[in-house]
Amino acid sequence: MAAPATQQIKIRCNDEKEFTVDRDVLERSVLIKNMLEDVTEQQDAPIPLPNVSGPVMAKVLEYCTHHRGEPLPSADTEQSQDETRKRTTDISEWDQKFITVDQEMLFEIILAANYLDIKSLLDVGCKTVANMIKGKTPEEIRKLFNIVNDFTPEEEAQIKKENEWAEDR
Amino acid sequence: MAITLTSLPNELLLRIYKHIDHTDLYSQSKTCRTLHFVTLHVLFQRHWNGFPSQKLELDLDGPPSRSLLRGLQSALSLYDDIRYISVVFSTNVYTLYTQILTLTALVQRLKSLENLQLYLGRLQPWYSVQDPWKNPVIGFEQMIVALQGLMDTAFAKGCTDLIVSSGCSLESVRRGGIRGQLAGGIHGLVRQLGDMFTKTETGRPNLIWRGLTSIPGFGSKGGIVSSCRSVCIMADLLIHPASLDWTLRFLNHSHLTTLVIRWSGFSWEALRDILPRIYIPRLESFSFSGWKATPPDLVLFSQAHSRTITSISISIAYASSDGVRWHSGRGAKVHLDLPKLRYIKLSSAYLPWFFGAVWSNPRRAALRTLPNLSHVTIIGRTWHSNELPDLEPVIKSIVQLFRSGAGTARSRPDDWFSDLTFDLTDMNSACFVDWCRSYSESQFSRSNHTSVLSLVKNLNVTNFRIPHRFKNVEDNLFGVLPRFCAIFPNLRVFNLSQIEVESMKRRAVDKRYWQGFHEGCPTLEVVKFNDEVEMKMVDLVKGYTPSF
Repeated sequence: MAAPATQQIKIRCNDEKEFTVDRDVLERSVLIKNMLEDVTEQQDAPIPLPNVSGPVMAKVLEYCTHHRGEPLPSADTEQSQDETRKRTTDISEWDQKFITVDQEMLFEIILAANYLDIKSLLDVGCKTVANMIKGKTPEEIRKLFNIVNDFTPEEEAQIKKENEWAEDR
Repeated sequence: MAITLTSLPNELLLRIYKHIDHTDLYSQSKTCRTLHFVTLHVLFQRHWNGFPSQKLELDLDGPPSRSLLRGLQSALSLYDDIRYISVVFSTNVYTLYTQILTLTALVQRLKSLENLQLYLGRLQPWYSVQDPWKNPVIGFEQMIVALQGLMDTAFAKGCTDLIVSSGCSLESVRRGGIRGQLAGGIHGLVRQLGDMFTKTETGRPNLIWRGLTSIPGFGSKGGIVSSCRSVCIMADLLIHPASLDWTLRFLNHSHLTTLVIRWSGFSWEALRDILPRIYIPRLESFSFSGWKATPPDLVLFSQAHSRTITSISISIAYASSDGVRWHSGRGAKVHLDLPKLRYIKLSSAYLPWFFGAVWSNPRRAALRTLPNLSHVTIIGRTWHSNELPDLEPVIKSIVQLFRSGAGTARSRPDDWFSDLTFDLTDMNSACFVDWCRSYSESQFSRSNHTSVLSLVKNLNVTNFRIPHRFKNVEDNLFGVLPRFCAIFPNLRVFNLSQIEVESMKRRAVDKRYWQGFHEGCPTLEVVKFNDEVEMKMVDLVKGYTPSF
């Protein structure tokens, strides 16, 4: 069923903020794409997206608009990519600029991309976090991500010991 | 609530960790609990592709084992429905100790456990006592306490099948030293376990657990004796009369379906006296492996359990020459007749004996001696580099078996003898290459034996190891394989597993090689490499490259 390219879809976020977007932009999200395919007749009621907030949706839409028209990665290609380029964290220039946001927004985007099922955006987000982690000591990571060290002193000693034992491969 | 790294769902953390390497993963694991377990899971997955949800088999005897065990930790925290654990421990005493402690902690986390198998290394007297890594000395009392702790934990989780095996012999106990002490300790432990079996039967449960305290549920279930389904015994331990006594009592009254017996070169004489005294009513599968044995004893044992047995594995390096006399005398009256047998795995030294005993059965004409046999594995075990396994008598036996039954109304199932495996674990690989060559060049392949060879549909060659001195052996193997496969007229699947990937890669892209292969063996449809990559012959011939 080919929809007219100009078809506009309304969505509503969890903070009541509404967006009206071109259908092909929204279809970057596999979740929405499937929803739209399930609904046959034109509906005026906005699609509710209870897991995404307005500001995050704006960011996500910015990404989708920029990448509109690009082929969607199929499950197969993703699989093979996983195998061949396992630990690469290359991100294109535009994406890099796009994802330069504060940490909370970054995690929000990752969660939204996961919920909306936008593989490429999810990858950009995950790679960005991976890049933040790389080459840092545990203490630096705790500081960066505001992680509370919840190990007991005994556990910490144990882990230290185990890791000595684990790392000398 | 603000979202942080630690509040992300695990699936997303796993996605992120896909992009970082080991060093960073270890840093992550040290930050906090949540990340600790998720990172370990990733580390684990990088060592294993896929993870069977209930059964876990680990070989921790090797250099990478240390991080593997770390990965295991995470695996068990995420997959707490594991029911079966089988671990081959390190032969380094210090590492063994650490591994036992770690495993104990891991088992503690499981919901429940049914089957625990512990292989405690080959603690033979010729191992050096000096620890090359200069680790702190672990006394055997310490080791035993650790082992008891592990067993306690396993029993507490409801473990009903416990298998402890070690290669320690009384010899090593006598020689002393750390390994000797450890061996002695394990020996003592196994004897203590033996005391438990014994005392369960006399119904004095409060005395049973001395030395192995607090094992809830153990006594009330009737103990291991009634619930144990499989057991592995080091026959070396049986030399001691006390051990022998409880072992026999345990075996002969148990509900065992699987029995594994291993022995060293020292004790095969003893085993000989013991075997006839073992009768396990429900035994379905047994496995013998050792350095030396007298074939008749194993034949007799097989026949004694003929009504239930479905799987036999016999791996010995030497068949003692005593058997020759036996075979022409007393033994000539003993016939193998195993109606339920499906799988046999035999070392080359034992093949003629087994099939000799099958052939001597006058009922062979009815083809009822081995009517269900479908999987044959031949293990190359050669202590002398120039000793070749002798397949010919076996094939001859099968031919005779087949011929004599061919005219009867009862026809053979199609899958009869369909799977032939050469397991080269303990064999000098150069021998196998020579052997393949001699078979493929001899008249044998063109003789009337083809009727049996044509039954083989799946041919497997596994554990081909290249000795350092013979780098060209590998090339020779690939050179000889097309001709070797060609002696099986109906071969459909050829599986090379546990073989160096590098050499396969070089061959796999060679179109002309596969064309030659195809001409020699036109029925071959599928070639498998290391059980992972499966290629259709038509594709290989066209030059498609498998993705390794």
